Amino acid sequence: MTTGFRARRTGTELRPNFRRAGRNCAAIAGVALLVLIAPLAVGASAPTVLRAPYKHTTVSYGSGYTYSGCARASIPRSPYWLPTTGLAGFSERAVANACPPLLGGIGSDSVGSYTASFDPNVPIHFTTNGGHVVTVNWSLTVAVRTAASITGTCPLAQPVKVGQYSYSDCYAATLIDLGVFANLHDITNGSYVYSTMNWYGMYNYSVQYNDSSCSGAACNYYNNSYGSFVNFTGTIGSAWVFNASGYQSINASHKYEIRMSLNGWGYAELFGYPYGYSAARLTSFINAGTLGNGWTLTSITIT
Amino acid sequence: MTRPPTPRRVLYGMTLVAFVLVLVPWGALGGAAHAGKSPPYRGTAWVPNVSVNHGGCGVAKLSPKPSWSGTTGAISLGVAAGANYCASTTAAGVTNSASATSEVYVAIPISFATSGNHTLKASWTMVLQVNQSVSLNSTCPVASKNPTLYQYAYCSVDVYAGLYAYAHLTDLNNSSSVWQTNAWNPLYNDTSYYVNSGCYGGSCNTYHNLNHQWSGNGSLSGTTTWTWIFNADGRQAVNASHRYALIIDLSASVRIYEYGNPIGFSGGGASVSIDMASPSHDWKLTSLRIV
Repeated sequence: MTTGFRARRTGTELRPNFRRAGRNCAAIAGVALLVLIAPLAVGASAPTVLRAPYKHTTVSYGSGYTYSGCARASIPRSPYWLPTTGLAGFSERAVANACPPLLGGIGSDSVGSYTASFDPNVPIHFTTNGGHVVTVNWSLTVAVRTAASITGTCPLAQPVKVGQYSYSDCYAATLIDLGVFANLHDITNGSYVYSTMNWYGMYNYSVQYNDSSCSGAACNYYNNSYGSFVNFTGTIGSAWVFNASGYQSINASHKYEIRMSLNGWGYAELFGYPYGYSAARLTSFINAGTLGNGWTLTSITIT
Repeated sequence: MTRPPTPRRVLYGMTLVAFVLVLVPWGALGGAAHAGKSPPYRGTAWVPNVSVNHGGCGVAKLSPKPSWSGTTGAISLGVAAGANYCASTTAAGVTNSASATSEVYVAIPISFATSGNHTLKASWTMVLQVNQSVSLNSTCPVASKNPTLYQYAYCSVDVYAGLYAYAHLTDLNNSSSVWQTNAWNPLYNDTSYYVNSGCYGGSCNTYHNLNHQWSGNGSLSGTTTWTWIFNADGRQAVNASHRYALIIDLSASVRIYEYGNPIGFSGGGASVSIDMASPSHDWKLTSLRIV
């Protein structure tokens, strides 16, 4: 979809109106490249605040899922970005149930995994050379959860004859990883200015395993669990601060853009040999795109 | 100014080419049948293994999700991917991708009445349709001249379809396996096309290549039959007191990858699909015989 907007300067603040200069839709089965025309020209003498709609923005999306055995995964809400409001998001989930013991041991590995991302690039046009600070304010409302309910047992390896070996493995793991990243990119020469302030995202990983092995009549048992689960619903507000100074001072003749990325991935995995846990259910999900959740580019301030 | 190296219109329209892939009548395999099975197959188990990914303007899907019916002996699955070439105004280049894999594992119990050397023959029929197309009604911008810097322009598209079927007879008591003596050759086709130009000083060069592995460059449909033969003999001779299972692994994959730098092709796109699910399409285990 291609949509046009015209910006209007009011004092030192750009107040974009919503006059639509044109629209050219090219829907591609739920995946769209959004381009807003009319470059943003901002001065340096006083703070300039940019708010939605964000001009001349390009964005790329990616998402995927895998599942095997008795696990399932999906992307209930594909990644999206609304430049008129600065709202973006996605949702994704995986559930792994322990398969009953199946013929031939198939289904002993039940894994559901997912990944989703969107990468909006907002062009910035500086009118003066020299040092500038660009502050990008954003907020994220999200629900994130991992959980494991292992109600069954792991079959123990059985003693065998002298000289023989037997073993049994049961393994359960969950993971979520949600992060946002950005840099101020000089398109003309390919250099980057990194943020001096970052939100380091959400990362939770949990593992439980119960293994046993027997060499002849001597058996050993290995049981452990570590990591943590997460059950979070709330809003996080943060900002990126790009201090373009010194050798990275702005050259107003260059083209710049702020390259951002929100991505989240995770999985729920059950593995076993020969069959794994007799009963277990793992979940992993990230909702950053439905039921009021989402990531919002609140404003961009340039000084 | 250098003229664009790419033909103004490059079109690889794929017309349906129907042919029979392989025809092996399992009834001609010979040997006295000591025991046999045909659908329904009782006591079977199956699990899926799927993957769907897309980026940029790519779209991929399972159509439909894979399934197995012990009643009919049929596996049903389908995968599809498509990607229109969409441009970007950034200097980051353009990547559009889509891929889907649909795989099914089926386990079928096998019992032997007597110990010793045996041969298991598993016959199957597959009816499928594969469509693959690359339509580039577009140009790849040529690299610009620069007196001191190397400049380049790159446009490429790669489309892949592949179908695999494997099986083995496994001894559930000791986990040993007997593999088929006559593996079915996989079907696959990888069509790639690229245009690359580079300029240094006042001199520019352009390279382009079209490569594909399937004759017909694209689509096929038809019926194939095959019989896997598993010789359980010698040190792998059957122990009738053991439990056995035939494990079948059928997998279909499609993939599209488009890349451009700085902006890629100006338009067009690609699509690819494998259909083994519509009413007349499937993979079917027609019989099992032990001799």
